[in-house]
Amino acid sequence: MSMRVTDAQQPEFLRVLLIEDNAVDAKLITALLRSPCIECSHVSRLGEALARLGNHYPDVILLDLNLDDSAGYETFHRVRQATAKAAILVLSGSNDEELAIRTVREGAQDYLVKGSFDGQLLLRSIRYAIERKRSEDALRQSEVTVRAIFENSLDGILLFDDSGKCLEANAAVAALVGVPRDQLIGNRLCDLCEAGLTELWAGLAGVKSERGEFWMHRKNGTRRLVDYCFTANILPGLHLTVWRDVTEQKSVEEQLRDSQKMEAVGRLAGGVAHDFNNILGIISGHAELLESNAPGQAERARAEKIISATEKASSLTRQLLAFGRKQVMSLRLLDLSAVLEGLTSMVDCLMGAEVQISIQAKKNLGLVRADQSQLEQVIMNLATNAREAMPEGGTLTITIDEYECGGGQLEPPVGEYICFSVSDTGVGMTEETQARIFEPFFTTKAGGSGLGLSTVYGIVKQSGGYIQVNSAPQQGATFSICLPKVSGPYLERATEATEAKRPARATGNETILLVDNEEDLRVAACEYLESCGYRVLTAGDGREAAAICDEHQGAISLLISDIVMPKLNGRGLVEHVRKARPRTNVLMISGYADDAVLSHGISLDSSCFLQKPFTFQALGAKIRAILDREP
Amino acid sequence: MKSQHFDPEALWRRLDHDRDLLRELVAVFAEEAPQLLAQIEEGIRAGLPCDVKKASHKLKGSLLQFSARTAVAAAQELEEKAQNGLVAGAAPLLNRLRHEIDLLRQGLNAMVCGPQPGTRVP
Repeated sequence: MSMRVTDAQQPEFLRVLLIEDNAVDAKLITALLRSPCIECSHVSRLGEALARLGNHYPDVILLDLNLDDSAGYETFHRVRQATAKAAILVLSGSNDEELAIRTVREGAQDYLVKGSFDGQLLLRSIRYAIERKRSEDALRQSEVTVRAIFENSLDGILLFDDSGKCLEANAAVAALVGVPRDQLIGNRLCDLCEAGLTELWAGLAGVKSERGEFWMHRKNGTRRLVDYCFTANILPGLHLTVWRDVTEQKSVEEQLRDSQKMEAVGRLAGGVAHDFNNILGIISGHAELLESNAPGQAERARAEKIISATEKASSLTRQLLAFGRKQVMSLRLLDLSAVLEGLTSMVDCLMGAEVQISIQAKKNLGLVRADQSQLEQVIMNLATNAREAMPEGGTLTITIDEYECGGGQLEPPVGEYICFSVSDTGVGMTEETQARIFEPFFTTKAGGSGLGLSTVYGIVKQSGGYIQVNSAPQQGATFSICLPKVSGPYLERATEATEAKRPARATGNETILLVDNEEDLRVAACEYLESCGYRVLTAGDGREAAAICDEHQGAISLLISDIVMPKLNGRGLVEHVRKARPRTNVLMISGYADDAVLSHGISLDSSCFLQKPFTFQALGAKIRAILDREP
Repeated sequence: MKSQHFDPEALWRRLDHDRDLLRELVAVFAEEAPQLLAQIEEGIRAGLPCDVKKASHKLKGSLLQFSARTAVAAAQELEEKAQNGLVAGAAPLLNRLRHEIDLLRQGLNAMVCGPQPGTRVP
């Protein structure tokens, strides 16, 4: 059998560097490796070998450790340093096998004893050395990769034994536990925390794998919510757990849940309130008719009581609509400090002598976009709340400042804000109470409506702002509201006065087209307007109204129309009327949310809009205001 | 021809019965061996164990390739003596090594000039 290398035995091309100072050995080895598939280079000194390795990349080095310019282990060490990629096969004499074995332990792939190999064994040993080098390199790379994953994972990775002693932990675990990493290794984790882990370990006994959450109470008094997954015996007696700090995430999720809950409750409240408004409008309208036609004082008094009751009910539904963010808003650019200044005397009066008031409102902070009357309502509601929390007196503090949010939380998002806060030194609230204070009808006061703070919440949200409360029992409370800061020219404050409760009856003789699909309301309103002297044309839907508009001979001074109607909605009707009668004025009425109204493409200039429910006298005043204004 | 000194069959197998290769190796050895023996002698005379160790180690390597057991043993003994710093009195050992190398060279020359192993001599 041939002992030389043959092409059939050696398909892969190999580059071999022989470092050997013995001429006979060099001659023999070079001859044994003579093949077209092998390029064998020979040097006899270490210096030559190191120079060659600078730009020559052999697959394998055959190395005699004892050369003229180097001897023993040092020869191997220097060659290994000069090349990380080549496999090294040590050629040893008969009495230095121990040294050869040492080199294998330190990074050589194999050794051959001189005089014991032929060409076939030599080639086999070369192939083995190359394969072993490749496997070692792959394993090393794998270890480096796994180590990199372990060290750089943002999740904590922890290995521990049956006694709970930590065997390996990455930096994320150390950060989570709050101790240096070297304190973790070799210690029981339960001993490094105040509480949380002992119970967890007890629960994991006998479990193969598990996921869950636990609170880790750290030695420094803080606590973190940890999401964990655990696997027992990944190797015998070795257990793995991966931790993730979800404290902030849970907090954000809870905020989101609360927000969504309030949103849902708001939608429900707004929907109920809208339906009530229509009913109240009918009651109020007929009550006004009864009042105006009452035969005697007693009957008039009864009608007034009905009207007064519907007004109270309207107030409640308005608050519900506010909570449900369904009020129509008259947005203006406002200076919060100026708004507060206008309320100072009212707040002073509300607080009384027992409560000291401190107002710290910075000037020239910028403007916010909000409805002034609603903002005033917010301030007054919060002030009222504060006063009720201080039955024995105390201090009310109102501050206004700017705030720039950098993010990292659900609310408020990144941006600039003008924030005002209302603080009291009153009885404070428990966490349970704080979690519910913005819910409609939730109250801790006997006889309270439970709508004050829900109204505040709704107004703030509808204004694009954010509200939070900080309190503890017997430590007062602070309500903080942030409204987005806007840039732009300062406009005048809202010039409309708040509607008088019972405006004087307005009369006229113009022709009015009244359109509302709510028949009872339409009939009552028509009766009232006719009693004021107007000529009233009525229609139950937009299409009927359009036909009346086309067929009526003579002027129609005013179109009063509901917005959301079947067949032809308010928008379509207005377009039709304006084409046919461009001089006809328009007054829109609606009980729906401003977004539902806006989705019908009608911009809400409050001068030509009236929110249901309205008193007929308010309707009359609005009609005169429109008809009497300059064209 | 196998003896306690030398195993020609093993050598032929290692060389794949390549007589030309054997001839080349013998020629290299014939040039190298006297130089190394001279270095050993000089090292013993000058009391330089390092030189004795280096030269005897190198010589041993060649002798291993020729499967020259007794010559390898002599060279190894010299190397170990030099390793321990004991070169005084090593001359007899050197003489023994020279003798073994002479026997080896005779055997190698016979291999080079003689018939191939396994061929019948008529």
